[in-house]
Amino acid sequence: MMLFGMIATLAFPLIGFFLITLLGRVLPRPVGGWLACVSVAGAFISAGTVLLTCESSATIGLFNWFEVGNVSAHFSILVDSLSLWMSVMITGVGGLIHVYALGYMKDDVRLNSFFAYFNLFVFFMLVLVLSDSFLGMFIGWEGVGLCSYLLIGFWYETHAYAIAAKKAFVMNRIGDLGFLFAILMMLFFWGTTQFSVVFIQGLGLGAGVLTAMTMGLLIGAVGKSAQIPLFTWLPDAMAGPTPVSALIHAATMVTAGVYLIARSHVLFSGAPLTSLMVVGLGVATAVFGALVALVQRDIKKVLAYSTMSQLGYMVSAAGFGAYSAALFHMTTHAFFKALLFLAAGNVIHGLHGEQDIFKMGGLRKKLPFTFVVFLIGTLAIVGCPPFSGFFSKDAILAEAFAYSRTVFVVLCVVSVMSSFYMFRLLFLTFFGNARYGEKHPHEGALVMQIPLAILAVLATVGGCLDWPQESILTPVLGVTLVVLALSGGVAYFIFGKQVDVLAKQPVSMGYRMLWNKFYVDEVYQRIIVGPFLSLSRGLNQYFEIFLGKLDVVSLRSVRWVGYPFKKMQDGNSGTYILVMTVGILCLLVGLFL
Amino acid sequence: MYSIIILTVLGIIGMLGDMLPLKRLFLPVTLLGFALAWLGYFFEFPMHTSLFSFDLISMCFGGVMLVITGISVITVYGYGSFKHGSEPPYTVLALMIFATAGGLLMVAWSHLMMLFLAIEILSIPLYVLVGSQGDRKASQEASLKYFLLGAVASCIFLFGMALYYAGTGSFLLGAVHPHSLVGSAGVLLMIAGVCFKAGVVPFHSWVPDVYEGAPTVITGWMAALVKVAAFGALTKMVGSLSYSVWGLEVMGMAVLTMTLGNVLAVQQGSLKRLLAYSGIAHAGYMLLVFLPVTETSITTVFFYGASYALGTLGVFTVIHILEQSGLSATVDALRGLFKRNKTVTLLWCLSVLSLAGIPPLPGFFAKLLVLMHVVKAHHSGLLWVTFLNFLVGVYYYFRLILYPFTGGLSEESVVLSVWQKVGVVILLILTWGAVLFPEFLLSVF
Repeated sequence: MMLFGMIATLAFPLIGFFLITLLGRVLPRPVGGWLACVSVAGAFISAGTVLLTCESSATIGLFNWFEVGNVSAHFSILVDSLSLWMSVMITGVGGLIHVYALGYMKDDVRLNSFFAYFNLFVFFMLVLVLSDSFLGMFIGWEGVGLCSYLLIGFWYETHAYAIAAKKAFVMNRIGDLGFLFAILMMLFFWGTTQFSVVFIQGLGLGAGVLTAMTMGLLIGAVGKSAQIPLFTWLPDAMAGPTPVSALIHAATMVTAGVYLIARSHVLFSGAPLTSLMVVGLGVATAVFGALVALVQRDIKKVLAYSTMSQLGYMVSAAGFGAYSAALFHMTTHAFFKALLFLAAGNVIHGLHGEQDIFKMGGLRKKLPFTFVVFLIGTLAIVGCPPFSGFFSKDAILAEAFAYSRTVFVVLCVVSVMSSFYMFRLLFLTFFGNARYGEKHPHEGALVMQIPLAILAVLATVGGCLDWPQESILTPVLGVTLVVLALSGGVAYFIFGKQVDVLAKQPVSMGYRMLWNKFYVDEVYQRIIVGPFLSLSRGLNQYFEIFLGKLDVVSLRSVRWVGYPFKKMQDGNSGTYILVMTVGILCLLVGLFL
Repeated sequence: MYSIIILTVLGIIGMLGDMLPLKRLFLPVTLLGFALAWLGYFFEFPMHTSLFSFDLISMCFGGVMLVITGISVITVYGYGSFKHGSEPPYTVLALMIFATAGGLLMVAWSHLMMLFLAIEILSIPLYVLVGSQGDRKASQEASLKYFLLGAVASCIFLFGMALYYAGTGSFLLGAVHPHSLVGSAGVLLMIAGVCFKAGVVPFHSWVPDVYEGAPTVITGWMAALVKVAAFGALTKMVGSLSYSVWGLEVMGMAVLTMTLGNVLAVQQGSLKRLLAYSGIAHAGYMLLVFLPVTETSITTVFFYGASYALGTLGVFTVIHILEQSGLSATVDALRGLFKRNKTVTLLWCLSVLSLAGIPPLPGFFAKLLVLMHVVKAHHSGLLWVTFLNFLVGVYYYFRLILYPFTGGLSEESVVLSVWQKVGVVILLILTWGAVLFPEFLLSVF
């Protein structure tokens, strides 16, 4: 039962991908999309069945990939509550977003390839979470990276989008290099990357080696989960269609880094230095993302920076050992962030592609359904009780309080900031005067509303999924409410009234700093890309002559080495027989040596 | 024995092909026969007589050869129906089947005379097939050259056999240790005779000319089949011969073979010549496996042979498809292939990457196994030479990867006949299968 269920979970999206790819030309366009939805739904049902029926964790061996010398690689599925829960979340949220995309993408010419990539993404994401070795995880890791690249650049005719896709790909490769380094270390020490071996033998290593290995894993996680310093690709990745942002760049793929750290917590617990760095990077990212989100004007960019900030929350939680809290927040975040992105997609869809929140306003009456679900999403993310975000944030804050007062205070401040920028977003979009000109906003089709409704329910009640044992619920409850009321009030006071917000733009130094995202892109351009380019230009200029010479010389020397052989190859059978005879003579002479 | 008998009967049927009724059944019957021929091994396994020994080596190498010929039969059949309307070249198919029977024998002998006969059974159809494009001078010339040099090689082998008998008084390998100089010389000459078939330097001169002259459908099949058969025969030989007699010589030949193959492959503009030289280099890598013979040698040579056969078949199938679309087999003909046919380009890229040894394609595992073998043999000099050779190989193979994605000479899409499509798809499936399940081949020995 378990074996069958797990194989079906993996097989459904893969078969869907192949069917849509192979039949893409002959299938009528909506059928391809429905096929994709059905395959993800199938995977969801299989994974859900296994989750409900199986009590114990197990490893299902699929097959031996290769065994060369003392290095071996097996493909097997790890079935435990973490991997099962992740699979259910991926296929569940993924399925809802698939259905939403049916409506959102219905006019796109390349609808079938979109859904083929989407299915392939789900498959690789499942491979990532279900593998019971780091190598298998890496295959999934690379696979989701590929799909992310393909989907960010889905509208590659627009040059900027293609550039954004490339940026995401390159940034992720830097992280992958770290991951690969850790994998090679494991292969070097144990000849295998199976979790069962690595986690048992891992602590036997020296602290230095373990730190290096976990640093490699951390770099991988930083790249995938858009943490400082490898985060700049995530905001740009919003170039992709909105369902892509919701599925890949909010709910699932970007949380893979958190999953990686949580999965290998045994290793991290043995490397305190790395754990400290995890916390530091996570907290820094949380602060950074929240600060930048305060002033952004693009509805998706605000959500992107908010995602970054929330990922920082999860990563830092994983860093100070609150793995279950991190994963709990990951789940609720998947619900409400997917909800927010899809609702934002509705707004964008309704305004025919407008993404600037200063050109929205007053949409509450035109898009009532979207407003309600967006409000639910906002309340969930700011941590208003009894919505899901409250419980998961509370779980993280409780553990942070136990870990360090400083971290706790910083995370609380981030929480306040996040409620401010979310209310700002809400008020600018749905309240105040209408600033969208002559457009006629309209609600999306029913296929776009149903997933939103389901996600809204999940975002509301998702907190019941996991009631954390340790809680500072009561004091936090009061503080939260006060903070929410305050930040909401301030946001409403600034952005909610019928004022011309464009005129109220502050142009202070700090604002410009935030607006330009602390100039990180520019700094990277200056200190990495620029010098690298000038170095290569310099090399090109000054070493061209040298290299040209070297090229000629090496080719000549190869020719020179080959010359006698080439002479022998004159097409004359007599010469050939002579060569053979000389060869035989040499062999026989060798006998006497 | 069943496998040989079945193939011979199939060959005779093929010879009569033009006259037979129910021609449409020819291809299915042939493929079914191949399947039965392989199953035949299981019925008599293992069988040892004074002339034959059907063991695990014969079964595995034979299986690979049957797959090679099976795929080639499909593509040749498809080519025939493409070119002549509906009439496939039955004679060509029959000769291919006969040659395969010879190949199967080359890995199933216990008496040296049988090995000699097997080599001849393999070779004679090849001479004819290489010259089967009667209207091309290069084809005829290649056939004659191959025949002449092949005759010399056979003489060398036969002479080696005679000397071995003179030295040991036996036609069975390993039964007697050839202490005498005469016996040792006999061993070397016999190895040389088989090395001729494998295209090892200094017995390689025929390879580029024959590969280029032969019709391309035949070249790919021949390159794959003969290499697998020759190395299967070598595996059976060297295991039972004393290393001290041939070790040094084979090492010298291996180094020369891979270096010369790669150095000359870099300079080629003709695809078929380039692949011929790179095939010589691959023979050099495969020879390394016997230095010295260990328990992993057979696995390595078998896996290397299978992956080389797969890559070579894929590459030559694509070249043949290119020629069919009206281009000559130069490197430039590859330009723009991606726009002309994506599936064919995929096959091309996977095959070339596999030959170059890029993970996770089977060629990578093959090269890894060879390197690990050399590492275990503690020849640090040999290790460096091998490594440098791998690098040179990557250099010229990558050039081949780049070309299909650059601007093309021709824009029209490449058209394939039904059976050619089947062949391409089978090759793709086998390649992906080898990526996912290399353990299937790695664990047989």
